[in-house]
Amino acid sequence: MSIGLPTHLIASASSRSFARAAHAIALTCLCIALATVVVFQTEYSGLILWPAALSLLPMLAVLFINSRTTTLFFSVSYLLVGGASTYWYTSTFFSQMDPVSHDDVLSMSLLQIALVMVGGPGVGLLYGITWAFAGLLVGELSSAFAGVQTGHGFWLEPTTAVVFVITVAVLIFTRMTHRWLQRTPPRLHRAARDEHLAALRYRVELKAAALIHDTILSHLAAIAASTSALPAELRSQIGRDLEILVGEEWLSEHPTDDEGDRDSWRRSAMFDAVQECRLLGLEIDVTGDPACLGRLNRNDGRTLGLAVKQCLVNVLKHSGTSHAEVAVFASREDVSVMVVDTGRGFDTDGVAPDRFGLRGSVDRRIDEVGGSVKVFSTVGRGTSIVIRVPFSQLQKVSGGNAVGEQS
Amino acid sequence: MKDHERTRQQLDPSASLGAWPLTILLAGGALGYALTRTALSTAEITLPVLSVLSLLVLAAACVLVVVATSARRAPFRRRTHVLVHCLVWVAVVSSAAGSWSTDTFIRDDWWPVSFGLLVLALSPYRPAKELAAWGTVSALFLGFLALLQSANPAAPTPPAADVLVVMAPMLALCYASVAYADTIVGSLEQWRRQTRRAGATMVDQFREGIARSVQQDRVTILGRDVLPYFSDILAKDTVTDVDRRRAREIADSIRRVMVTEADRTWLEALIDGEASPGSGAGWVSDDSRLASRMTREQRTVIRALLGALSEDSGFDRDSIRFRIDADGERARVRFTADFAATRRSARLLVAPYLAIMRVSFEQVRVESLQPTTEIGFSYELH
Repeated sequence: MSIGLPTHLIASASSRSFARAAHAIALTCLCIALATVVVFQTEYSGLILWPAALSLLPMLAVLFINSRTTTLFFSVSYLLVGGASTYWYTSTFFSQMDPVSHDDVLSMSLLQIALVMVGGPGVGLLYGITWAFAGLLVGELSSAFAGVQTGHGFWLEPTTAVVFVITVAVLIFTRMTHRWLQRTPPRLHRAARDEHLAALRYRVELKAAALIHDTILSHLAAIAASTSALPAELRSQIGRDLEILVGEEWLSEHPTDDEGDRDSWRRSAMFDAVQECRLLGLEIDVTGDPACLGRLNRNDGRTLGLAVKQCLVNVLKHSGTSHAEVAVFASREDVSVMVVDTGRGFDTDGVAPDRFGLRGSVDRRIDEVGGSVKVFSTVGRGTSIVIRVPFSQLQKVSGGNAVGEQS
Repeated sequence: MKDHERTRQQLDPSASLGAWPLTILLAGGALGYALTRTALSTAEITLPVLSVLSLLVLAAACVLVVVATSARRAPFRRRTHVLVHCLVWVAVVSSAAGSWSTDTFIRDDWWPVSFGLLVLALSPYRPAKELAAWGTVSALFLGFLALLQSANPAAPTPPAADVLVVMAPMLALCYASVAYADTIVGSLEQWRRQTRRAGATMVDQFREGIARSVQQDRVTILGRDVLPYFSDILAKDTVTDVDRRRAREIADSIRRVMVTEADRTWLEALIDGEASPGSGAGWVSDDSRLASRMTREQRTVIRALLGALSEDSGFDRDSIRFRIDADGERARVRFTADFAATRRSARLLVAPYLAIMRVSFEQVRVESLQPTTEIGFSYELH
């Protein structure tokens, strides 16, 4: 289901659809008229009826143009050319055949019906009725004129008038929309927007929960398990994390604008992984500081790219959502990549060890480069996978992007 | 969730609800035209029983179109479309047999126009390709029947001309139906692409604000206990038993908050927002958290329905009840709400949303017993 056309587009979409339907009727009528001429010419070989077929060609050409580009000029041209064609067609038949003898009500009125179906430009009921009436008038007058010229008198075709009445009825009913129905599209649009924002909020909350798990709770667990003095490394990690948590915008999501940073990101294996998964149909938001991936050595960067790709493939296969977020953060020591989705989630305790390819394709790979993988997932709310990969010693010395400096 | 076909009814159910009067008009027109034509050509009917049977079968086809395209029975499926064609074929054959050797002007028979009007009536309900395929097959069938009948020596026109003229209205109306269906569905799909792009832009606009708001919530929670505790620990040289116990207590309390938040489904959050502040009303019974298994589309419909109800003055916001139970691979939902308004106005209010729900959910039913309206529906658990 789409959320439907908004109120301001309904009238134009309806008019466009009506015009296309009218042109389809006109085209069918003209093609049948052409075939009818061929049949009559074959049956009555002594008569010269083929000029009637020629009369249809300019009308078909203008109809084709008018259906492609429905403008005032082409619609009026269609009526003028159509009027002349109808006169020519009817004269060709009436000058050689008695209309009573073939009593061919419908085949004579095919061109007139095609004129009623001019489907000119303009949005609204009045435009539709006016164009159809103009077509009716031109068609009837052309035929009547041909009738008088060929000595058959003033000849009016009732079938075309009936078609006109039906057309007007359809136009009226097509435009008929109850007031209570007009309120529905805005409500649906508002609901869709709210749902979009709620999903975004869930995703950010999930990210926050994963960050808190990864920092606060793991530090508290380490303190609870400690014996006496805290290891220096843990102290410095707590200090750095506190800086992030009390600092501004630790959930900030603006992507990089710097040209050089964009290059680092585009050259990374993770960029290729993201692009590949986008081609598979996954919508992916990349947030944080993806340029910091340029500080990983080639092997670690490639390993991280493959691991992230596996995570994204899992989102596509298992999460039931087509949207994921890849958030990249860097500290002086390591780079953290968080793959977040707000899909169906899963029970991390109840999942088979090899499920989601995490163990083989993500855990082991990241283990090999000295990193770690943590999975946070709640059934119905989504999954967040945090991958941390340390910078090699060389990069640690040269990389100046500290925790507090991340974008 | 059911797969959607490229039909207006399934892509924009509430709008196709508005198209239903036109469907009734066209189906009624098809039957009216057949009755008029038959009445005008009674002199040519040799077997009246067959002619009457023909009209009865056509009437059945028209009634089927009207009933099956009603929003209450949405969506209109392919099998019903095929059944309509089959019924009209039977009616046409019966009509032709009723005046087989005496039908002078085959082109004046009701078949092509009535059949074409019925195909036009189905435009909002079936995909363009299917309408084109079945309409063309039926037009060829009418042409073939006209060819067989035109062996009548009394006919004054060439048989091929009869075939063409009989097929003309059917083909014209069929392709009009196809063009209308294709264009309106194209407009809907184009709009959907635009809204998707606009949605992405909107998300970018709101992203920072939401991130800040969530961060603020977390910092408030952490600021109470965690940050002072860590500052205290970093200022000390050793960790005591009291510190370790405190670490466990803080971790437990954080976990409790996080679990409570994680356990609250979107529906509970939505209902809490709809109920009167502080009333404690608004109730969701969803022990297995099945509301979380609804798709984004299904959630949108529920949001829109609740939005419409909350804007209505006759609706008691505190009377909302949702009960969701698992039933094998499905979730069954029972939603009830009280209206002070009349039964008819309650029905009018929810009708467009019910039309959408019939496409998005399955087994949708509605019951109204003043003042309570109950809507039941189900969806697949993925």
